[in-house]
Amino acid sequence: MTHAELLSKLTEIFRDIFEDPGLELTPETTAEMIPQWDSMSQVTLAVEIEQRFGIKLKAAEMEQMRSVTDLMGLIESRLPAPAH
Amino acid sequence: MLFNSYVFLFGFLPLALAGYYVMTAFGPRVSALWLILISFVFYGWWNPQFLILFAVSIIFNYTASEGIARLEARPRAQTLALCLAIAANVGALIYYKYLEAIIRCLTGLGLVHGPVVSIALPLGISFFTFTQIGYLIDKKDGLVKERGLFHYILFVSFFPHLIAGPILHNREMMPQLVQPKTYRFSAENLAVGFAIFGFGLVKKTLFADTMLDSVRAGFGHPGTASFNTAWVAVLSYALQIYFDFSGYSDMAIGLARMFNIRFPMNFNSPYKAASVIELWQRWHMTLSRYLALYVYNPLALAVTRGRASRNLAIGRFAQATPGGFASMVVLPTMITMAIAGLWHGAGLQYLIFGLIHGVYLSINHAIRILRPRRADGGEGWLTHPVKVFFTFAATLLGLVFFRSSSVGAALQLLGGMIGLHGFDGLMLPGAVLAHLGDLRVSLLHSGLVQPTSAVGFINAAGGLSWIILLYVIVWCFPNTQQIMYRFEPTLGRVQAGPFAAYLSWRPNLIWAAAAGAALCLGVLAIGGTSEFLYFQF
Repeated sequence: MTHAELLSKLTEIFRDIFEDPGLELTPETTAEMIPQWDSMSQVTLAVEIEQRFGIKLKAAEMEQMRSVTDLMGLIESRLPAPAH
Repeated sequence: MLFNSYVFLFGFLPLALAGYYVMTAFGPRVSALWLILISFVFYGWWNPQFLILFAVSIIFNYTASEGIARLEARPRAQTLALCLAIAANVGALIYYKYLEAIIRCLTGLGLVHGPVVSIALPLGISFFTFTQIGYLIDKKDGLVKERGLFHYILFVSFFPHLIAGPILHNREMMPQLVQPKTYRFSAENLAVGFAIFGFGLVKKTLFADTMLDSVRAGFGHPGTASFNTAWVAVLSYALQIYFDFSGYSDMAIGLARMFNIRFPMNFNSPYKAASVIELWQRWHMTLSRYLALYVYNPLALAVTRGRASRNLAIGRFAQATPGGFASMVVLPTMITMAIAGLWHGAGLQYLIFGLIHGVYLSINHAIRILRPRRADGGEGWLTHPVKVFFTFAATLLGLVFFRSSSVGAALQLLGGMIGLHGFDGLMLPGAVLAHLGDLRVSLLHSGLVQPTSAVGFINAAGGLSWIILLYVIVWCFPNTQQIMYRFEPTLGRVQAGPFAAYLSWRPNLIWAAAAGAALCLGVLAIGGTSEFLYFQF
């Protein structure tokens, strides 16, 4: 999955969870910029990401998932390496 | 040993610092050893016999963490080992902190007959137990980079955070402890640390400790507290705990900085919060972080994952349903806050405090889930000051339970606050009343006014003015981190606060003079009565 594909898939998830069809995500977006991104949404986000990307996250990693860059890094590290 | 005591300020601290900087000439290892040594002296000063418990706890937990790491290939054995280790820690905590209360409760219920036990509480046991449990859990999750027993001992025993936190995470501490530059003299760190420490000392001795009399007047006699006494007591207590804890956090952060170590932020003007959710992001931040990491997130994740795997919805729509809301929001929140409450003390009133905040948070989340987005994006009548007001009112209610000696006493004081024990008249000096002629008779008769001496009036008015001034400081002024923002006072980003142009600390003459004056006052005020709320933790 390319960086762009990952970002767009993540944007889809964010739009669903925060119920904001116009939400735009950039790698610079952080939790402070989206008011509804609190501890509750963090959990929903984590589970949605697990479901849609087919990966497993650890409870301890949720503390570091406070920005889009963090999320993308985390997801990429969990995805199976692409076959060559 | 308390930070606000002569023996600490004029004995321990100078020796510790001087020794530290002498030892830095002999290398990081020796300096770190010195820190461990003085930390154990600090801990043992109050009650030497608890040093044994402290040492045993550290050795046990380190051994357990090593064992857990070795079992990496066998997850179930690893989990079992972790649970046993946690149980041992929690067991010790229950024994020292809660057993007395439990036995008393059972005796009261008639289930147990026996001698009354009295168990002394080891200093800081809640803090060093929690810190080490966190380390064990992280070890099992493979999130800890191994640094050896020596640095583990320093991590747990480092004296600034020993009595009252902040609750440190190994990820933020270990890298600092192994860096050689931590063990070199830095004039800047010493100056910055001293300034932060000074702010904390002033908050504790000049602000918090002056609230004691009003607090005791109300909370000590809840059954007879009038409307005035009750409200003054509660408002004073809100100030006392605020400045007590933020002062102590500042002192801890400042002390660590004197030794070149940066602590995380623990207190961020919590009464400025516009919601209870925000309150807990600003009050005792490291405890909130700890509970979120090890209690709330695992619980909420488990529930939410469970729903997802059974193909139940988990988004905002699902959270708006009774079942979804109860399982995904209320359950993890109430359990977490019950623990938060009980962690503060062995008593039903602490549990109630926690549960009250659990209810607040659940309501807060419900509002966020259900609130329709306004078309104009505005706030309507729910402006920022209004939100802050409601949040503060909610906080006050919780604090009544937190401070009261029992649930019954709390309810009595609440009764006083709504006027069930009557109202005191406003105090006016007899000299003023004498000039009011006929009005004087009706005022006195109605009880709206009570005569006092001139001195009595000045005392009362002065006391009230002081409380108002402190609230102005709480709500309108920058906090210690904001004042120090140019020097990275804590881990994480700090931004400038209000009046940043005038109130940003710099190492110049004006600030030195101000700091000197403040420290003098702060030290002189030590002689007065003092109470350290977090000592019982």
